[in-house]
Amino acid sequence: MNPSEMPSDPCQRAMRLMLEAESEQDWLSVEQHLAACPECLEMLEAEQASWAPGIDQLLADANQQVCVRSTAVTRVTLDLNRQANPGQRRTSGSAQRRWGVLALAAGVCIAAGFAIWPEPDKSQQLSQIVPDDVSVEERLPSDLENSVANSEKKQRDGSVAMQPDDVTTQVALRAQPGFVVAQQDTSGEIPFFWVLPSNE
Amino acid sequence: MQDAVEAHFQNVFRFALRLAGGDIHIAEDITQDTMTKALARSAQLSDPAALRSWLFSIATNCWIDHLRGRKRQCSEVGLAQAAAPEQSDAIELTEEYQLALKALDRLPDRQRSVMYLTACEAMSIKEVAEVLDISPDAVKASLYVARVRLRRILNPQID
Repeated sequence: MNPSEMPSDPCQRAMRLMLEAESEQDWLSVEQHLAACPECLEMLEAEQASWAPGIDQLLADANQQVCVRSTAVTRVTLDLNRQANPGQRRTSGSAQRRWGVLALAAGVCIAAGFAIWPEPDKSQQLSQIVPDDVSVEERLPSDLENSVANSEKKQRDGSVAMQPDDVTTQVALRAQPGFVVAQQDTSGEIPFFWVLPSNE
Repeated sequence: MQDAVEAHFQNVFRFALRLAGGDIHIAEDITQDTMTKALARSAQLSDPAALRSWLFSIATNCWIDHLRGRKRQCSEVGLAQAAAPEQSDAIELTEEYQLALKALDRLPDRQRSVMYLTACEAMSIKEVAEVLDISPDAVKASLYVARVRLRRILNPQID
């Protein structure tokens, strides 16, 4: 846009820019003018009343859909251990992602398993995603097994499950049936994952 | 308090997802940071009714921290390598919704946040101003510009 063609009046210039904006800088100029000019802002607010609700509704609907869809793939590792021990090393995001990829892949396998075998044995499910050289029973304390069972029950009630922690492990999970859940030990590492049994 | 914070988990995650431009991995990190900080600082929340705004404020700050960290990373390992966007996990959406959210994600940070909090969280101008720590007029200006830009992109769908 040729600067020499722009109106000298700031309000007119902003309106013109809004019609012909080509760059982020143009939009920023409009935004800054509106924030500083109550007259323009008031006028434009009235103008948008006829079309703004359509945009808002479309975004709200799309966002709601994301909520539903993402619930199926999101795993949560809410590290309460860090809250209790602020100085403790935190598992890095990239490390979590590596485990997450593994966990999600395992989740897909487990989900496929559910589809094929209606009532798989829980330890069998766990063994599919725990490293081969570690037995599930050794790595899953009994009270955590109970926690898993409790989670399943709570989820059937439709509520959100939060796990209690035990002496050696800190587990925080928002468990839903079929979810991949990460267990973090006190070092901040994630030793393994398991998948909660499906309701079906 | 923990239950109350946890009840907003989905809202925080969805907000973080938009802050992160649709990148689920970053959104998870932001959400985790937000929830952990919220639980650690829960005593600072004087008005329980303002919990949602408070959580979103923390999420916004976590996002800013993330951006700062990314900038640092860029200067340390080279812009080209660090600037490569992470692959987002695919979320199945209809084409219409995908287009809408992509358009939203392309807006600058402030316009995107203002638009999201207003449209998707149904927050008032005052609430949004508090979350983002800007003036109400700045919220209105960003909101108007964001809507105009989205309207141009999404016009066939909303008319």
